[in-house]
Amino acid sequence: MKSILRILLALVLFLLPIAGRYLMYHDPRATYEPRVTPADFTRFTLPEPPTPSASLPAAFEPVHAGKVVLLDAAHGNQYAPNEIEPLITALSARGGRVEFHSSGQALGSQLKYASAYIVFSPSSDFSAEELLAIQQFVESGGRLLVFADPTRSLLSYDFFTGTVTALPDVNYVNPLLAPYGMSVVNDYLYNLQSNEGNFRNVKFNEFAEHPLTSGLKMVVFYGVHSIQAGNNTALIRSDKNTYSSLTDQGRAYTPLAVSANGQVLAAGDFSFLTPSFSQVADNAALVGTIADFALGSKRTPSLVNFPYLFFRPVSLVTLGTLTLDANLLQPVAALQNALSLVNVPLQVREKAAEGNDVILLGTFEDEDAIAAYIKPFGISIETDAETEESIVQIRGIGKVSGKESGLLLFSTNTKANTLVLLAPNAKMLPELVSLTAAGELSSCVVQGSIGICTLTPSEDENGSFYEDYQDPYGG
Amino acid sequence: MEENTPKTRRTLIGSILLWVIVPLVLGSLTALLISRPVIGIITLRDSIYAYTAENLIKQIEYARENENIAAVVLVLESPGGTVVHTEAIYLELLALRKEKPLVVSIDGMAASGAYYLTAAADYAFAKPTSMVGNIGVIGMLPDAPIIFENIISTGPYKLWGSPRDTYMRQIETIKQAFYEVVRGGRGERLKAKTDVVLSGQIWPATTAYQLGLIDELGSQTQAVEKAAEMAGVRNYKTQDLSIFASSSTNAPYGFFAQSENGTLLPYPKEAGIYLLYIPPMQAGQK
Repeated sequence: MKSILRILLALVLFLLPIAGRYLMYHDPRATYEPRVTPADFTRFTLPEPPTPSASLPAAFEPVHAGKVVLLDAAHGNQYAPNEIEPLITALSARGGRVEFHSSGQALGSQLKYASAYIVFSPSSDFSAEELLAIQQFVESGGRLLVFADPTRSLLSYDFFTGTVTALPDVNYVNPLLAPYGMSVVNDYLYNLQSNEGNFRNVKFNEFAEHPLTSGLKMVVFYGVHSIQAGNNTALIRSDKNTYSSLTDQGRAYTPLAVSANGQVLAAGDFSFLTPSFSQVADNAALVGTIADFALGSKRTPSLVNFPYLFFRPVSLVTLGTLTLDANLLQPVAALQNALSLVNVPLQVREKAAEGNDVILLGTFEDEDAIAAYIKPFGISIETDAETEESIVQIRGIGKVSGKESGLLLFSTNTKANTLVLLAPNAKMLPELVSLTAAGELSSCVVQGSIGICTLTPSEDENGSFYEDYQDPYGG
Repeated sequence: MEENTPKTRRTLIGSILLWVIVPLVLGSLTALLISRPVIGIITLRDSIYAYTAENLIKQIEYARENENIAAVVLVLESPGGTVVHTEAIYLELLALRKEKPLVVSIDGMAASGAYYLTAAADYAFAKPTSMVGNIGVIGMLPDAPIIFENIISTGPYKLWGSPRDTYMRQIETIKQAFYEVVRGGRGERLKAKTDVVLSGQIWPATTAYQLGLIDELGSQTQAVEKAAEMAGVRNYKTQDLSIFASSSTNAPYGFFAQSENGTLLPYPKEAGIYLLYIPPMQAGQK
């Protein structure tokens, strides 16, 4: 018993410093229970891209043969032609022809004959003249397609401070859209709940009833601005889980809208029409309807758009006693040449051929012969009792001297488009025809379908310039 | 009654020596084998890439294998980095955590991949204005695959790796994995909704705390105390484990791009997929 006690005592004394040191460093009550829940990396799968649902025609009829679509390349546009190849192909398949407007070319001249004008992500301002020309183009039935894209901001780098400034394209496209009550918002849309592989690739399922969205079930935009459509038609709307980067608020945003007059399309993205994004969901079908929209304009021919006034062969006919003399032949040849450049043949005839458009040449001197053509325009020609000069009275404009002025009168109807060129006399008519052939109407006042041009009086009426010249130095 | 003889005294002294002093001395000597516990400090003040990953993994391995190290505090000051190296460190941290507590102490920033590592910890501290979050993935889409006249390959993606589109979707799967890491790591402590977590925002720690992305606002000292508490140790000492780091890879440059005048830029020089925070303007610049 005594030995057992001794052994126990020895054991206690042996363990005591060990326990003391252990307790000095460890809390026996503490227990560490790791709750490690590693992610299961094997169960994540690649999201599949949505497949097309809208059917595409196997072949297209070139129903818009000859129509020209003008692509802006004059405003630092942030795209390469090969990127928009699906749209160019869709336009070509429908008979359309694509031209580029580059800097140095007069936009107004190219818009004269264009069916549509397309702007992709510009990075420089449109001038006041260009904005006016585009507005007039739309008013005359041309179609304007404006594509912005949040991924195409131009970045400006300051080498001195190292700062980078983004210049979003919305700054440059909104002046184009403002006259139609639309604007592109400087944001991008995103959807964290349901997207096409990435939060900024937004799927859209809600479409307005419109030819542009006909047959579409789903389209995907890859980084898209929202459009403020105002009172215009929002063609596509997002679901409420789509957010704008500007507010981080979810609601129905629109990435594509068309103006109330049906002539202007605003899109917040164009990545959707670039390869290979154009093959996702119904994007290819949307590219097709956009091509139809661009080629579907019905432009009202306007005098300022010469030579793009005629869509049929043209008969040139002289009125009254006027003869096609040597002085007139050269300007008429220039006219023929100008029209041939736009694939319109011109033939000189005694009277207009059936189914032809017409150009009529005459002088104020043949009052009876021209009477039938000037009356519909509210024009009459009187003779001043004192000077015996012709005075042209134009309703709504007033009196114009018939001595130094030529008239261009343009009318259009279902049978033919008719252009009447009237000069004071046969000697001044070649100048008027030349002006017209050159498309140089800047010296003319054009008001609706009437143009009044200043012509140089012939020498035998006013005398030679040199005869009238008086040397100020008395030489 | 026994006599108090020298023999008796010797016997008594002998008994005391044998049954008291010797066990006490032996016990004291044995107690010396119980070493003072250590809280290991592993520090990452760089982006995450091959060099830093290898260094960190060596320190983690040392901490796991060394019994003296009772817990580890991971100090983070990093914008993140490459995906695979982040994952490599994360998996090593999980292995460590199965055995020892791991507490993170965020200094200036634990963004993207660095937050990925934070999610592996038992507990996370940050300073009130530390920047936390930026959960997500960034990458640059490769060019669309083309073929060359004088380069022959044996499959459509032998030269390109994958279709351009697939690359984008792979980024999405990495994002899913990142979220699972955060959700699994934070568990019920995560208060933010999925879309908030995945919004990619970087928050000051005060907000990150409210969102449940960290556990407490506090110092590195508090992190060490917390690690010790979780490990159940006291009177511990701390040890900087960086002395055990040695990388076989090249010197730590080459991850970030450089400007023409040699300035280091805050984005990688190579296109790829990253768990990386890039300050706003530089992100656009890239």
